[in-house]
Amino acid sequence: MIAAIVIFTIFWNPFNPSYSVLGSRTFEFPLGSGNFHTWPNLFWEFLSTFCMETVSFSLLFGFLFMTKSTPQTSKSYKIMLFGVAAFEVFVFTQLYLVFFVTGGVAGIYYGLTRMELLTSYWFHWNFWSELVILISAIWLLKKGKEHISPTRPWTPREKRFVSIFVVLALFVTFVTPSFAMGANPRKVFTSLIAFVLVTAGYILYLRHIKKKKGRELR
Amino acid sequence: MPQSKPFLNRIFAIFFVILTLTYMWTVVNGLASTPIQLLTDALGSRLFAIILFYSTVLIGLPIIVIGLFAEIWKPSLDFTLNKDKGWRTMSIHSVYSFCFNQCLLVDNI
Repeated sequence: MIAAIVIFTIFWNPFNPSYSVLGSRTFEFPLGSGNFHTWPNLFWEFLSTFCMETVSFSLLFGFLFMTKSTPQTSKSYKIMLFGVAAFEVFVFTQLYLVFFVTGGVAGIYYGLTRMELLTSYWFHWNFWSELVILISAIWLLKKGKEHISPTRPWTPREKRFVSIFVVLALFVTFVTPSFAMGANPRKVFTSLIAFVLVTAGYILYLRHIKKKKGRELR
Repeated sequence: MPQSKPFLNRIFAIFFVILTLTYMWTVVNGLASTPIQLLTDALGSRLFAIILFYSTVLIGLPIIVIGLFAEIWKPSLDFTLNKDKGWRTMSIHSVYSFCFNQCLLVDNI
């Protein structure tokens, strides 16, 4: 999925017909300073894809949560978790707390009212992903990585539920932004293709797992 | 923790050091003015807004960078897959949020 995103954002970018990975773009930085810079598109897209706190933390801690690393056995992991916990506490204080109390900052920043923002699914996705990282960091620092869930295998019903959820989540991710931000036929079509491709990849992955398990049982 | 692939750990850490430092650089070099103004409007105090805003960048992120440098210096992360479903869910949620954010960005271009 990450590879698909990299291809879509950096190399292909179907939503922008004039985009070329070999081209360049001119931008003003810092904003309002009058200093204009020209960078290759490849470099620009790489930075704008990966160099954001939500994105880099999602990747960094998303990978680390899936591994057997624990702060009890790795000092560097422990320092990183302290850092991300501190960062998230400040983010929740300056962004979400202020937003929930006054309606300011995030609402004005995105140009939406409090209710518009609260009913935007992407806002919830941002909010819950930050919360997941904060809770996980505190949990890991306190308890390590021992069994937050029972280790029994999933029942067929649970598997079906998870699969339906994943397909719905993929649909929401790829298709609904096109409708939410002005339904342009080209955008909708490309989003649908992206959805179909990623869903097909997911189904193939499930089949692969099923076959692998079958081989192991034999 | 015995390390079979310290080279991989170092590459992993260097990649994220670059990402985090670049993000810090962009924030400190001028992208910060809009959020600080918004915070000032919301809180009614520019000084408090500046302290709150820069404390995020200048406390949380440097600690993460120190942790990543510690990993480069002495690799200790174990990249063996964790089979606990809870942690896998946490992980998938995190990585998925990356993809989700990027889809929105793609659409905004």
